[in-house]
Amino acid sequence: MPAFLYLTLLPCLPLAFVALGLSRLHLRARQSTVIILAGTIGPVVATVMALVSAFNVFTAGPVVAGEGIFYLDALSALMLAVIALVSLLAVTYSIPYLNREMAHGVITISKLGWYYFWLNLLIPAMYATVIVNSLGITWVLVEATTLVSAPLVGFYGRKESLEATWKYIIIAMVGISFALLGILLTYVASLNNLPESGASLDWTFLLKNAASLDPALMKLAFIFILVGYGTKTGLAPMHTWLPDAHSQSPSPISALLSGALLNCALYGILRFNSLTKSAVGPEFSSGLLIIFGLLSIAFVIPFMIKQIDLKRLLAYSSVEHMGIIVLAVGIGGELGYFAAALHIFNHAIAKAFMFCVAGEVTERYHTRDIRQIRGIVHSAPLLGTFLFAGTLAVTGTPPFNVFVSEFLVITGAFASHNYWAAGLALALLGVIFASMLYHCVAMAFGRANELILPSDGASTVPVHPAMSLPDSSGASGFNLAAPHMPVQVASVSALSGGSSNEELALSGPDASGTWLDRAAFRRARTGLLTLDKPSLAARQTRPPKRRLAVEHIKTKSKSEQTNNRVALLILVLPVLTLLVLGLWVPSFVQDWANQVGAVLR
Amino acid sequence: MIFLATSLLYISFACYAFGILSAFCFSLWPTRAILFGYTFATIGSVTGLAAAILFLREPQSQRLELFTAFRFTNAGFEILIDPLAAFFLLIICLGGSLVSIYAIGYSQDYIKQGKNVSLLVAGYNFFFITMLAVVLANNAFMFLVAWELMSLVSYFLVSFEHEKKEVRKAGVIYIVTTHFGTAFITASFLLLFLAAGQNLSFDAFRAGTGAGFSDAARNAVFLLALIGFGTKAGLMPMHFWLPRAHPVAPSHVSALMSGVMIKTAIYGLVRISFDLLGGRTVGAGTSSMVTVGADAGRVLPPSWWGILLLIVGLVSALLGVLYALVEVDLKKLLAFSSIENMGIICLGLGVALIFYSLPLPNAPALTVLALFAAFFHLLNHTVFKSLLFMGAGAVLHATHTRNLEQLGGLIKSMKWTALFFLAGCLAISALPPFNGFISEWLTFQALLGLVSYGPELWHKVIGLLTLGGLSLTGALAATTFIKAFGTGFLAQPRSQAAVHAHEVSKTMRFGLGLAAALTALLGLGAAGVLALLKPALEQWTGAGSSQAVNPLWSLPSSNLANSGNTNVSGGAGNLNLLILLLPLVLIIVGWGIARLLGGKNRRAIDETWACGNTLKPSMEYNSISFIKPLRRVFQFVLLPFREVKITYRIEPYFVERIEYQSGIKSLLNSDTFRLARHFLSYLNTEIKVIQNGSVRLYLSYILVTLLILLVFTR
Amino acid sequence: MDTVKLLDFSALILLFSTGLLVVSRRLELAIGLLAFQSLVLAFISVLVAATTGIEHIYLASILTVLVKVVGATAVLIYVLRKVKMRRETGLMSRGLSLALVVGLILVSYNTIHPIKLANTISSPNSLPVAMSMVLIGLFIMVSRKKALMAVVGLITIENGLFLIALSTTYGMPLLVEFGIFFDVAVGVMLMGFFAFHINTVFETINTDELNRLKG
Repeated sequence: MPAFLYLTLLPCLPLAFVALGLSRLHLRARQSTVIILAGTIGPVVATVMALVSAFNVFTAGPVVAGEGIFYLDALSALMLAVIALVSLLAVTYSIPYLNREMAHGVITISKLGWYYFWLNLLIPAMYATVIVNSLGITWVLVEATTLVSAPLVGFYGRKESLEATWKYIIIAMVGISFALLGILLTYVASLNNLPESGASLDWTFLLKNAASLDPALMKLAFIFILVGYGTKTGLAPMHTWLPDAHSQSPSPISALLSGALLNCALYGILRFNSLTKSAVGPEFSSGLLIIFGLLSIAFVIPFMIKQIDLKRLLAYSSVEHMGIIVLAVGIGGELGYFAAALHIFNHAIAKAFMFCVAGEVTERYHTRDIRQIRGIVHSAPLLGTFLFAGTLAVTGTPPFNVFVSEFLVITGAFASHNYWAAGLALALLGVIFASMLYHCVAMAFGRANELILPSDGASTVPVHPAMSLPDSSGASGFNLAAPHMPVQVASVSALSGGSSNEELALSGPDASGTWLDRAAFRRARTGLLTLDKPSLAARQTRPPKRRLAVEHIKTKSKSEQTNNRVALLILVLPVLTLLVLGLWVPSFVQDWANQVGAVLR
Repeated sequence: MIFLATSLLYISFACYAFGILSAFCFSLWPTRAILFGYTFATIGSVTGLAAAILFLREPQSQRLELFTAFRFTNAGFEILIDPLAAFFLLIICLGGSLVSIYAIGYSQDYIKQGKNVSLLVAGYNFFFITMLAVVLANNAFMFLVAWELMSLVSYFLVSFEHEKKEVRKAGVIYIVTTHFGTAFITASFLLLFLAAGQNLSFDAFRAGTGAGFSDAARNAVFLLALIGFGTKAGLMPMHFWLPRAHPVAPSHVSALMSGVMIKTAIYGLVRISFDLLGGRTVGAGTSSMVTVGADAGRVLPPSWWGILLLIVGLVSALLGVLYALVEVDLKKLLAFSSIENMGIICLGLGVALIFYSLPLPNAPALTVLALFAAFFHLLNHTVFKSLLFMGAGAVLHATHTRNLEQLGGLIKSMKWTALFFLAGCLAISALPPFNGFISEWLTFQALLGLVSYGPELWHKVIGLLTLGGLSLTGALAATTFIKAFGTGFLAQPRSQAAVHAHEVSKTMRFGLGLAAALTALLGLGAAGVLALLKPALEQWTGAGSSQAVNPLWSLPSSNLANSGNTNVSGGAGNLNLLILLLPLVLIIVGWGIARLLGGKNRRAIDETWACGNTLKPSMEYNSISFIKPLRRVFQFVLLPFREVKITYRIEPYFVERIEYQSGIKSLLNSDTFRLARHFLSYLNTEIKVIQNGSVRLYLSYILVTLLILLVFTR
Repeated sequence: MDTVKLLDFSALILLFSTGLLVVSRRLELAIGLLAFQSLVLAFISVLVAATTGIEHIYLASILTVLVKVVGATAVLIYVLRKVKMRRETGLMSRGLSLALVVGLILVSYNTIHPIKLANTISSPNSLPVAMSMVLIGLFIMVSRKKALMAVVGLITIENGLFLIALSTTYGMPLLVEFGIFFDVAVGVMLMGFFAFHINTVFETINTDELNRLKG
């Protein structure tokens, strides 16, 4: 029963070709529906199978199947669960996403067929990576996932997509080659030091005899594995392909890549980490992992602070979280491993959710540019809520689950007396929180139809004057106009209120109306009142930012509205999961995480 | 009794939850959402208040285990209701009772603006739940979750009017600053976690910080906690979010934030320094730890903690009141005044901590005195700051402006608001018979105690300096509020907005009146407050040590020379009342005499000479002119700027236009900071070259990494 | 000549051809050198198979010839013809490249030196040469601008890996070998396809032009 169970994880493969074939036919009606259906069934069934297998492994213990070809222990089960849930979200979200893309004319039926073709090859490759016993076959499968995901990254066929794909392929293949070198060296060590066996690269065999492997060889091997698989995992400074690839691909694919594919490569690092710890001693690999972890967290900060592309922001966040996981594994101890296991799961769900939300935002506003998106809470309140929930989740804020695992990572760092690592991590995570929240607020809050004037000193002025309560703070200033000249009102009340006691001219009782009298404002703008504040001068030396008014497209076709609603509906369950897991981690989940921790040790 | 108290507490939580529920149920009927939501909040607050009072009467602590989140670190949700927690429960629910009714009237404005008020109401209720969870938490995990949730909810409440850029900016500054503060608090708790044998429960912390806990770690915990909680409390130099966030929030939220939320930071500080770092194990101590005879087993903190707290408090108080003095935005003025009052509370706490660390025989009594000063001031501040913010909100509602330079004459159009606001101003200026007087008096007494009984010279010196500073603060605070009330309410209206002001609705007036009445009551009934707070004050110094404290006489020197000699008690209550009412009586008698002897009022109506011009209300003495002399005196601190720009028609005789601009630049916008920001921005742009798009560069990173690893790790 | 000396000699020839690859300017020459490299590698594998008598290494050598010598070269020449590019300009000076290459070789020798292996054919140079080929392959990818040269570099890396496998463990388990070759084949095809596509869209295969995605 077990072997058969696991082999049925791969029902997608034939369906891949079915989907492709269907796209070539010329069915008259509902062709896209059929293709989508054909392409979705496979992953959904695979999800169910994977979850069942994972549950089985967690409750009944490690499983060896197919005469040693397949091996599942707690770590594999965790990865299975992660890939299962993330791919489920990705394929379900693909449906409204692709529907709208087709309605906008961005993709054709044939492209749809190719999408599901490659997707149905990618998902079984990912599953297979984590369930095979031989480390060599794992490598082959990881390389296969790279090759199969490349067309998905370049799906849109634009110049940027092509560029992203090229960089992805080149850098990933280089990395993978180095990982192969590491595996080769492990194989050398295995052949040299261990009794001859047909299973020399098998995980079970290696783990049993890890202590007798040559330390020098294993050190070298681990270096290559860390750099090699680290490239695909997204550890700095090998992560450079990640922002391009994850931002140019369609959002469901980005979710899948960030949530599942990075974890597959991480799986490789984790397996070799266990081997190296037994062979060489814990300090070597732990030290390297801590260094790469902290480097990954720190590296992304300059790129997140000044970021204009929403999905690139999320991609950098993935790099940071992979750094956290690797840091947790490096720190070790019961707490460290538990936290790493929990974080693998929490981050995958949170990041996949956030990418889908980003997909929704880009679908509605037709741009990924953060500077052009404003006022989501007004135009699409539920989406705004999801955006906030996702941002808070991804940055590790209660009440979401990522806070729990990040807190445990810091606690673990303290528990194993890595005070500086913990302090540094806390500080860096705070900065990342600040930058992501800043961008989220810029997009979510504000008015949906805010008109941003070209710079002549005035920044955002709300179009509706009635409601704002002027924030005039502080200074006194008054105009001594010559007699018979009307008193000018300088209503620059909406200047960014940084300094207290900003200048503000008074209006005499003759001045008409409220502060935001538009006529008065226009008069002020025409330069009768020049304000020589230093901050104003600095603002004027910056190049004028001509930003477009973001129009909320009121009239949407019925199908688009349906798709919008379906997409939001799909996103409800993940956000609830994030919330629930943040407040309460069930004890069985804790047990399972402990099992994974035991494996990682 | 305990059962009643816990039931009331449960009912309180349930009411808040119902508040949230009703807010969402009635989201399509905003008026009803407001009514139900805030009514539930009021009921919840009142029951919570009753529960708190009952808990304070029963000095045994109550424990409750809700559930454990993670077994092996013992991260869970446990509740502990000891007298300290009960006191802060009292504070929170008192704030809620005062503000919630007012909020009903205030939130009506937002319906007209088309905003989603049910979110406001729901957030308001949830805010209370999180604050209660913070003060009741007995586990570091629960504390941190509740703390961050509290910050998050308050952020959303502050950003309620997010259409304005200023609000968004203030909100982001607030939540980022508070997040960093939480990082410090987390570090502090995790050091305690280590000491407690990897257990996150506060009980384990108490047990683990005994004599075996290293000095360096103890100091680190205190410093980290001071920075972290100080950020939330608004102590300098971490205060800069406060004057930005409190003005832009809806006024009832500002009242809660100033009146209640920043107090939870004080709760955290007290909890860590007195309670968690106290330790309960007996044993051989390290050099700075001595066990006191009557209180064997308690580990003494180093006395420089108290000094540091004192200094931080003093700086916050002085600078806070200075910035409040020159502030023209009414709510920003109140925000700076909050910083000042937080400073005063920290003064009291600092003195208490100093005496707590000294092995003197009369130290317990002095500690209790100082703690009473701090706690009473805390209580008073909740009441009068809520009152003042509610008043400012009423003014904002009526005139749509917060700028004092445009107000004026409101005493005629908003009689009741003016009266209640006046009560608040008098209270905060520490004038009898209001409550502020008692608590500032007590703080003075505590400082005098430091001077008299502090064993070292530098205790006395610092005490004297602080006394001077506190007196200055008090005087400046009085001036500030004279300015606020005078410019805002008296004389003629300076703008059309003030001309068209009208009295606010009944609910708002009721809230204001309730708070005003409470300020008077607390002032007159200080002895009662002492009796109520006794368990909280004596929690660490042992029962009975507050016998020697009397609210008005405070330092019976003959009594404190030998502890245990208790003969001054609250029996002198009647005398206290008389002393307090004496000024009032004198005023009334004096006025009577003036009326009798002065004869009829004579009124002459004539034109005021105005140098040939027509007088306009804008020519009145306004707040800046009132403050100008003081601004000059303190210009080395405030660093005001002034710019004059003259436009000529025919130079240099015919002037077309003169622009005059002056103000105070906040430190964050000063040139140095702007330079630093530009520099960081420049650095950022330079660093981003790392990802410049060249795939060869990216590959070279891999090559270099590999080479470094190969060469250096063999 | 006994096998060890022959193997050593072949390894050094490989190193030499890799060095030539680094400094070659004409793309056709580079591709030719790559083919030569793969051929020498196939020769070495036949030698190893003959010495040790392990059958599947013959298979590996045939695969090498097929995939790398014939297949990869064909793909690259095809793309080259379509792209109509001949020379490469604007690179690092030859002297500097060679100096860096020497540095990389030194690093590889330094790395391999402490490792004592039991199971080899005891050719003292093959392992360091293989490691150098890997590092030099990456260096080629870093220093060359044309997309085709990136593929050449990648194949050099793979060749280095194959040599390591040959000289230490007589290849990997067969299934893994198949997998590797399959991956390399598909990878080369994919990269060739994309290089061609890039030329169509960007009108150049100079990868420095691919710099729209920054920051």
